[in-house]
Order: sequence, then structure tokens, then C-alpha cells
Amino acid sequence: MSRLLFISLLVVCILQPGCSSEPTVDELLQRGRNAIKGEDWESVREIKNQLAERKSAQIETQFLEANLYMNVLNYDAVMQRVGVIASDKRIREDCMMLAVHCFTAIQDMPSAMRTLEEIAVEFPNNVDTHRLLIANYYDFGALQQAMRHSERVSELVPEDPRPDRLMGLISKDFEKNELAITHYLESLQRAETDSTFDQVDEIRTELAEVYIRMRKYQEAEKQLQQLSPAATQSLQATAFAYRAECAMALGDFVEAEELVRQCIRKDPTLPDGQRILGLLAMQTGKPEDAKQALENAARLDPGNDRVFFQLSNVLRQLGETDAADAAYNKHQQIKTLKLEYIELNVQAAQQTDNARIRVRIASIAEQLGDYQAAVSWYRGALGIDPENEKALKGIRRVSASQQQ
Amino acid sequence: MVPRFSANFQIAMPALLVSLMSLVILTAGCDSNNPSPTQIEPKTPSPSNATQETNSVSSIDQTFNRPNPSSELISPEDNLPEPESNLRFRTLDSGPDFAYKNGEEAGHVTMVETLGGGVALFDYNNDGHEDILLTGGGTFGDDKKEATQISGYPPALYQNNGDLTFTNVTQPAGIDRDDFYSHGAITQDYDNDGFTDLVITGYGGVLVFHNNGDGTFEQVAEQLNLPTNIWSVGAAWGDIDNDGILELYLAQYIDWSFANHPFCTGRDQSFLSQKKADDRRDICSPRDFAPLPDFLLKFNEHGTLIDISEQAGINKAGKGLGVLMADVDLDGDLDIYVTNDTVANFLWTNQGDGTFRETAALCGVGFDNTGNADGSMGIDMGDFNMDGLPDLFVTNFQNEQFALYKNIGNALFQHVSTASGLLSFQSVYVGWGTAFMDADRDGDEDLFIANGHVNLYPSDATIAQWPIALENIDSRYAKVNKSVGDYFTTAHKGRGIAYGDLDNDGDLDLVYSHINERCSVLINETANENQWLSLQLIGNPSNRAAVGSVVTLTTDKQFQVRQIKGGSSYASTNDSRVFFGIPQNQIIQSILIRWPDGTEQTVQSPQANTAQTIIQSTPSLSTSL
Repeated sequence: MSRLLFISLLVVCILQPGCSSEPTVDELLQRGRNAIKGEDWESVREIKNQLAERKSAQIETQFLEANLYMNVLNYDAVMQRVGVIASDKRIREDCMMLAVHCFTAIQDMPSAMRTLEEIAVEFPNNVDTHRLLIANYYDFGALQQAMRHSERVSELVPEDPRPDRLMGLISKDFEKNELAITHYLESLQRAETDSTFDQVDEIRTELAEVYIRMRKYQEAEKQLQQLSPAATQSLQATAFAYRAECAMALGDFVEAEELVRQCIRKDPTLPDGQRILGLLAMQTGKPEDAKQALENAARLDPGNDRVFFQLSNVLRQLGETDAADAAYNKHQQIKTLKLEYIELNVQAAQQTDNARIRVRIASIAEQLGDYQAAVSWYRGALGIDPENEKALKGIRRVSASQQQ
Repeated sequence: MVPRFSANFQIAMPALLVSLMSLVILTAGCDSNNPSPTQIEPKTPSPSNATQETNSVSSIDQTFNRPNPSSELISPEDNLPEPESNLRFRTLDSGPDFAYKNGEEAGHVTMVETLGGGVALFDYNNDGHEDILLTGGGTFGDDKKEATQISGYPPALYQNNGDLTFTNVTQPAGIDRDDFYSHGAITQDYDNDGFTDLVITGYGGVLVFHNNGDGTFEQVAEQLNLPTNIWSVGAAWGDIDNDGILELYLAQYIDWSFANHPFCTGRDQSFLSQKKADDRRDICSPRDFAPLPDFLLKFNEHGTLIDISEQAGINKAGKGLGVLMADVDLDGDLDIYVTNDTVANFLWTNQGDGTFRETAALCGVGFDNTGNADGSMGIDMGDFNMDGLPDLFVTNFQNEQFALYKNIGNALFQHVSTASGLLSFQSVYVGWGTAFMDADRDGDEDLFIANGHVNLYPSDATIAQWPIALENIDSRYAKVNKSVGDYFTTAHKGRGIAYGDLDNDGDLDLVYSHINERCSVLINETANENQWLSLQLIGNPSNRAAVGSVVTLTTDKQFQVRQIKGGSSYASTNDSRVFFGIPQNQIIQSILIRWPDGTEQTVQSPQANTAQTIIQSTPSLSTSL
């Protein structure tokens, strides 16, 4: 009787799930993953220790160890383990991402990019991979690739308004106007259900800019009038500037002047305000006013070739021939630099390990007054060649000039 | 004309919002320290909000069962309201039944087939009625591999019967020549014999038809020693040295040929997303080809034309399409303006000593208002703000502004498209022929433009496009298509345009040439009580056609200035008479003519609503009507 009872109990224990006294390796691995996700490093350590006691759990143990070392920024230790265990399908994707973060941390961007591209191929639904690729390609100016990965994120995360915002921005910069509109409107639509997204005002302003280019002034006005009261001073100023452009194009010069004055009051440092004021003065036959405004615009935005061209025209009208020639030459010089900048961008996207090109791009950006881009490209060069003297000097120089 | 590609001068700077964008993108659900794989099934993105348009299907597309590439697009139409206008033009059913053919059905997708043809209005038989000359175009060999054969179609000359019916007299006139693929129709009395001659430009040569004065023409290009094997669209006759004999300026386009015929795609694949990449063959950009030099030709003592380009300082190659000869700086001699496609336009300023200096950039007429070269096609000169200074108007490509250059004196111009209402309509148009003309006879000059895209698969636009009718209202232009007539609310592949008084009723009519579509004759039926005056000037000793004359009409309230121009529009020639519209409440006081040789002649109190012929140096007025 007792033996029968024992056998029955044994059968029940076997058949009942969770009845066994020890978790399986896979269960421990999953618990470890959850702990990593929750940044519960104590638990991660405990689970790792449990796995370490099992001879068949070496891979899982090393995986958790790698994550623990990542947490304390011991990249060598991470890479030692990842290199061994990455072929395991269960953890391969995670290991590759760990490798990416290590490469990024030690500024080995070419390796980081290569690994990300491999992940994108093997695991095409890995959103984080696409996001990292977007950011890096955008840094490198490889905008076609940035677009490609943005499209993927947009598909994978249909509620996320960010990728379409970026695609709108890139399209706008390259004057693919209809494409820009499509993406911006998509982003706005998605933003309606994303309370954490705080770029709606920026999108509306950029979208208005595209509409103005296409001379769809009513659509531009619609967007600008929907700017929130909490929009930054700079955005509000930009909105006034764009509305002034609309008014000017439609022949309402009085309204245009009032709007552009409001723009300048909001943000006197906004180049667009002075530029449009100058344009308005030119169009209404006030060359002296135009000269003053355009000179201000040129000071605020020294890399804007258009402003120098318009300034040269005004100076010539005023009989200041030498100054007009100088402004025209400056316009030509900037245009030439910009052409070179674009060409080098294309080369940089194709040569991801070429520091020299990146230094040259940074230098051009510096000359054009885009210090943020200059620093970015110098850093990109240093990511390839950490000892690059020109890049190091460039960053120091730009930082110093920014502090002045 | 140009599709713009990613290497675009107008980009101020791609906004490298590195930190911000990276931060934004990365923090949205991306934990860099604890990566976890995401397995999300992709969903269908929200539908696009891009507008959809449809296009009228050309007969060629229907004939060859080729789906219209833009069949999903509608004709461009601004949403902005238009002011009511009294301007009215009726499409004449009895106009010439003739269409310029471009050979696109052969499927070679060449640069040649994009340019279209022109129209000339001139009185070939001196019967007092303006006749119509249209160029024929051409076609290509059928062999897709050895597609080197480029053939021409003859022009067509239609005699105006005086009752707004027209008779095709091409053969009896002797101009049914198809020597090459043709574009431009430039008419002028080049030999001062009182009969208007004809120049046909095109791909592969130039034809010159001398008017024999008996209703027939004789082709004399070889005799005159015209250059051969050139590609010319725009040309103009003018007396650059005031010796009474006309010179000829021939603009050349680009170095395209079948030996230099790259495969270009419809969309910019170097940038756009893979999903929207379009690898269908489309028309290339002129940027893909080298410019060609223009010619300035002068008659020598033997009566043949010699090339004086070099000695005259005409030393820059462009991608010329439109040519205007007029006194742009009002210094008494003829200057030459050339519209170049995707490179800076030229203003050859006459130095008065037989040489020219290129001054477009200096004078402010070389570029758009940001310093970029446009895809420029058509040109005309007028005085839009009635200040007595000649202004220039240039038609350009999609997403570019049609450029109105206001003359501000001292040979300087200002780009005023923004202030003059030319930005009030959308930027989808590709503009060609254009005309400054006082369509409602209120004294100021209105503007008319022929539009039509060049690409087979244009981005954000249609191939056939509405023409544009712009009424001048207090020196500002308002688009009034919806008032003017059916023609202006129908899409066409418009190219050349010429104006003239076809029915001699004192108002100006229009003729449009299209690609693969019957030409349109538009009769001006604007009804008002305004007055008019038309003048036929005959020079002696100035060139007989009086090209270069400046005519000032003064009333008790205003003055108007017109010039007799060489060239203008696109590949076309206008009625050679000078037309004035005078508001009904004004009295004409005088006409002052400054002849090309500098002499002046005044006519006091000419009778309104009449057509006059004025011969140089004859003090009394000769009335022909």
C-alpha cells in the first residue's frame, strides 16, 4: 500500500508543472534576461551563480557575465565572452548588440557599423539596430542609408512618429518636397497618439517651410497657426518669419513687415528674420534698409551663400561696387565649399574608415559656421583614428571659439 | 529645363542635428545598456496624404497604346482664388489644323524631343494680314539599336484669308523642306527689301528662306554660308552696329547626340528610398551635357554671313534656348539676352565699338534671387511698371521662380518676382514661350506663358500643364486663368507662343504651339471701351524692319514705352507692329520714335483706334487704314 502511494505521488509530481525542485537552464536564462531588462543586477548575479553550478550551462553563464561586465564598463571582458558564445542562436542577437555597444564605447565605429549591419540582415525586425544605424548614418551623412533604416523602423513601430519626422527632414533638405510632406504628415498623425512625443511644433514649422517652397501658402499657414503656445521662442520666431514670407508672396507687404518684426522681437538671433526683412526691403524699393538687414543676416549665418548674393545685389544698387564684388565673391566661395561638402559626404558614406575625408568635411563645416557639424565630423574622424592630430586640433579650436 | 538632383546649389546645409536626433531616436524605446530583441510584426503604415492628380492622355499615347505615365495625376490648379478679369480669349476652331510632332513614339527618350517648336506671325505676302508659320519637328529611326537617324518634318505656312480662316500654302510657297529636326521660327526682313524672310532653326542645321516677294521663298542657307551641323533653337536678327544691315545671333543648346545619350532615370535614385526608386528611363538633365558656343553672324561685302563671335567678344558657351535683341540699357544700341538652361543667363552688353561684354551677373539678370542658375527657356522684355525702363521676364523650370527682373536704372536690374505676384501660383510649371502684351488695352502689359513638362515621369507635377494668363493690375500680376477662356483651364504640352493682331481689330491675339497637339489660335475678345494704336515702322536708313527702335507714346495722363525687338519668347516671332493700348479716358498727345540710328521723329496727336505706318524721316503721318 505505501509503495503504491509513493508511486502515485511520484507520478503526480512528474505530471504537475512546476513540481520539480530545480529550474531548467532555459528558465534560468529567461529569468536572467528579465533581470537584465529590469537592471536588477543583484538578481542577474544570483542567477549567473546558479547557472555556473551546472556544467551544461557554460554559455548561459558567460552570457550573464558579459552583461554584468557591460554594466561596469569592462568592455574587454564583455568581448572575450561574446566572442565565444555568439554563435548560440538563443543569444546571438543579444551578443551582437553587446558587441556594438562595446565598439561604440571604444570609438571603433567601423566595427560597430559592420556589426549593426550584420544584425540588420540576420535580425531584420530588431528596431534598436535600425535606430542605431539611423543615428550613425546620419552622423556620417549617409542619408540614403539613414532613410532606408528609418523606413524600416517606421514599418516596425507604426505608432512611432520619430522615423517619419527624420525622413521628412532629410527629404526637405534635399528638396524632395512631396516626399517630405508625406513623411511629416505621417509623423503628425502618429504623434496624436504619442503623448511623449514633443516635436510636433518642430514638424509643423518644417512642414510649413516645405509648403512655402511649393507656394502652397494656405497649407503653410494652417500648420503655423497650429503651433502650441508652449513652442520655443525660436520656433515661434521662425513661424513669424515664414508667415511673413507667405504674406509677401501674396502681396501683403504691410502684414509681412509686421510679422517679420514680430519674428525679430521674439528671436533677434534668427537669421531668417533678418533675411526676410532684407528681402522685403528689396522688394519694396528700400535698398538701404535691405543692406542693413542683409548684413545682419550674414553676421548671424555666415555660411548662407544666398544672403551674400542678395547683399551683393543691394550693394551694387547703392553704388558700393567694391563691397558688392566682395559679397559676390563670398557667395561664390561658399557655394564652392558647399558643393565640395556634398561630394565629400557621398565619399564618406562609401568609405566608412577614411578619417581624412571626415577631417576635410569637418573643416568645411567649420568654415561655413556649422560648428555642431564640424565637431561631429571631427569626432567621426577620431573614431577611426583616435590620434588624428587635425581632428583633435579641430575640436579644440571649435570649442574655444564657441566659448568666446 | 532641369530635373534637380541631390547636388543642389540651393541647399543651405543639410541640418545635421546629430545630438538631438540621435538622442531622440535612441531614447524612444531603445535601452543602450540592456538591449533586448524585439519581435514586432510590421503593420501597414498609414495611407499617404499626397494629393493624386490625373492628366489628359495625349493622342500619341493612345495611338501607341502606351499608358500615359502621368495618368494618375490631374492638371495643376491653384487652390488660391483668382480675381475676376475682363480678359477673354476664344479658341478659334478655324485655325490651322497642324501639330508639331516630336517623335517620342519611337521611344528613344532624347533631349531633342523635349524642346518643341515655335510659331511666327508675319505678313509673308504683304496683304495686310498676319499669316502663321509653325515649325514641324521631327522623328527618329525605328531601329532601337542603331537609332542614329534623326529626321525632320517640314514647317507649315498658313495664309490668313482675312476672315480668320487660314489656307495652307506651304508647298506653293516653297518651304516644305524637312532637312532636319526643326524648332524655331524666326522671321525678319534681313535684306531690307520689304518682304519678310524666314529662318528655321533645329538639330543639325539652319534653313534660311528668302522671301521672293511673289508668295514664294527660296532656301539660301548655303549661299549665305550659315553654319551647318549645329543645334539651335533660339535666334534673333538685330542691327548691332547701326549700319542699317541686320546681324544674326544663333544660340546653341547642348552637345547631345545618339553617341552621347546616357540612360537617365525618372527619379533621383541616388537619394530616394528604395521603395520609391524609379528605374524607368526618362529625359536627362541638361547638366549631363556640355554647353555649346553661340554664333554672331554678320553680312560681309559679298552678301554672305561670317562668324564674328570671337572678335565681338561672344566667347562663352551656354545652353541657349531663348534669344532677345533689344536696347536693354537704353544707351542707343542693341544688347543680346540669352536664356541658358541650368547655367547662368547671358546679357551681352553692346560696348558700342563692335564688341560685347557679358554682364548678366553684374546687372542682376543672370540668376534667380538666391544666386542660382535656373533652367531658363523663354524671354521677353516689357515695361511692367510703366516707368519707361525695359524689364525682363524669363520662364524657368519646375520649382523655380519665373523671373521678373525690374530695371532700376543704370543698367541694373532687381529680381522682383516675389513682389510682383509671380509667387502666388504653384511651382509645378515648366515655362517656355512668353509674351508681354497689353491684352486689355489699359496701357500696362500683361503676361502670357506656355507651359509643359519635359520629363516622362515628373515628380510632383504633370506633363501637360495649364498655360498661365497674368493680368497686370497696378504693376502686380494676378493669375486669371479661370476668367480668360477654356484654353487656359486645359492642360497642354505648350512650347512656342506668339502674339499679333490676326483680325486687325486693334487687339492682340495669341497663337500657341504644342507638342503632338494641334496648335491653338486664341482670338482676343476682351470687351471694353479702351483705345488702341498700332504702328508699322519702316526704317531708312535704319534697317527697314526698325529693329531697335524705341517708341514712346504720351497721353495726357501717362506715357508708355515699347521697343521693336529681335527674337523674344521661345523659338517664335511676334507680329512686327508696335501695339499700344490706351485707357478710354486718355487722349494721345504724341508718339516719339527713336530710330536705331539715333534719329528721333515725333508724330503729334495720332488718331486713336487706327493702324499707322511710319517711315523714317518722313515728318507727316501715313495712315494705312
